[in-house]
Amino acid sequence: MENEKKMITLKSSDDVTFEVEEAVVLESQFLSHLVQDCPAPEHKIKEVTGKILSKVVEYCEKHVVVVVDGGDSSSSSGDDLKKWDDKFIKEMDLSTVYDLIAAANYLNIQALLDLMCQRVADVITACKDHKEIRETLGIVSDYTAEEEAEVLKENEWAFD
Amino acid sequence: MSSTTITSTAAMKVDVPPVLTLLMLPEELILSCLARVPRSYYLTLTLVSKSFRSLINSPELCKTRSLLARTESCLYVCFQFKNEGNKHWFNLYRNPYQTMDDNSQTNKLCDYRLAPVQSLDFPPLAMSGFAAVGSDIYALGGIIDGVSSSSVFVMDTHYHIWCKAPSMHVARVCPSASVLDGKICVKWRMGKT
Repeated sequence: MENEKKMITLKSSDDVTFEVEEAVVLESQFLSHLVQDCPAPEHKIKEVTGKILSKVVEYCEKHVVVVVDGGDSSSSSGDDLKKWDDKFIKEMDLSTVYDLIAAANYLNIQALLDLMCQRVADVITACKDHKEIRETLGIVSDYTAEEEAEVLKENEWAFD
Repeated sequence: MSSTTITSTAAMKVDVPPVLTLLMLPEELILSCLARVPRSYYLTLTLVSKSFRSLINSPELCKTRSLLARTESCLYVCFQFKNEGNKHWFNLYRNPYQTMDDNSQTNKLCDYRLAPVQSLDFPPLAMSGFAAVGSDIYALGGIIDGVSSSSVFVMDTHYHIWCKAPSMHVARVCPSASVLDGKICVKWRMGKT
């Protein structure tokens, strides 16, 4: 007989529902406290959309499974998890990454927050120069021509 | 006819979700991303926008890097000319003009440049010895106003601020300093320690 797993329903801001095991929910510090303080079968998460919550649930389900199974062969499952994380982030556009950073911060899922922030850092370091960083991150420079020249001047010794 | 056009435009505006950009995140989260970028990229980042420059130069970025335990090796170079009191400190950064000489023949070493350290309060020491412990650089002994000195100054490389540290017992010019088990050992020309 399989142990009966407690299921919890999470509802996104746009009313998309996800039925997940309690262990998955416990990956989030925020939801852990919520579930403990308010033992209702369904919890509405007003700050996270269905699209982003599906990614959060996908990440937590994967990570909780590996932690449970990883008792004997933690190193190989650790490698698999890293491969899974790499694939997870590579399929994502930056807008989704930012949404996931905000969601991971709100739900207090440190590992997901670390993964997403590192993704942004990796994207920045892959850029050739400040213009490519602007294009990639969608940032419009608020420097006037004079101000940009001033910043360059501060460092002009460096470029001789 | 015109009212139909207005209605469809309004409907389109409702349908398009706002696209989140990095700078729309709370500052602590932007810092959490930037803190993971190596320090050698900071010069490039200051050129992106004013807000980026402000974030890169903020003490909060140093705090975030400390919290995340982001440590890395950084190269500092100090130049001093014989008849000049001022020292010139430089820090190794990634060249922000990668695209200008972007061809396959470019030497990899050209990807980095020394940029001046922006600090207003360099100690008035000449001919000091130097040692690095953790993220601090110590300037030991040397000459102040023509007199040999036992003074010790320390620069916090997070903020590039110099502070006076406890002096050595004796004044020494051009000492050689090294670090053993986190302790600074100072030698001078007779080889005494």
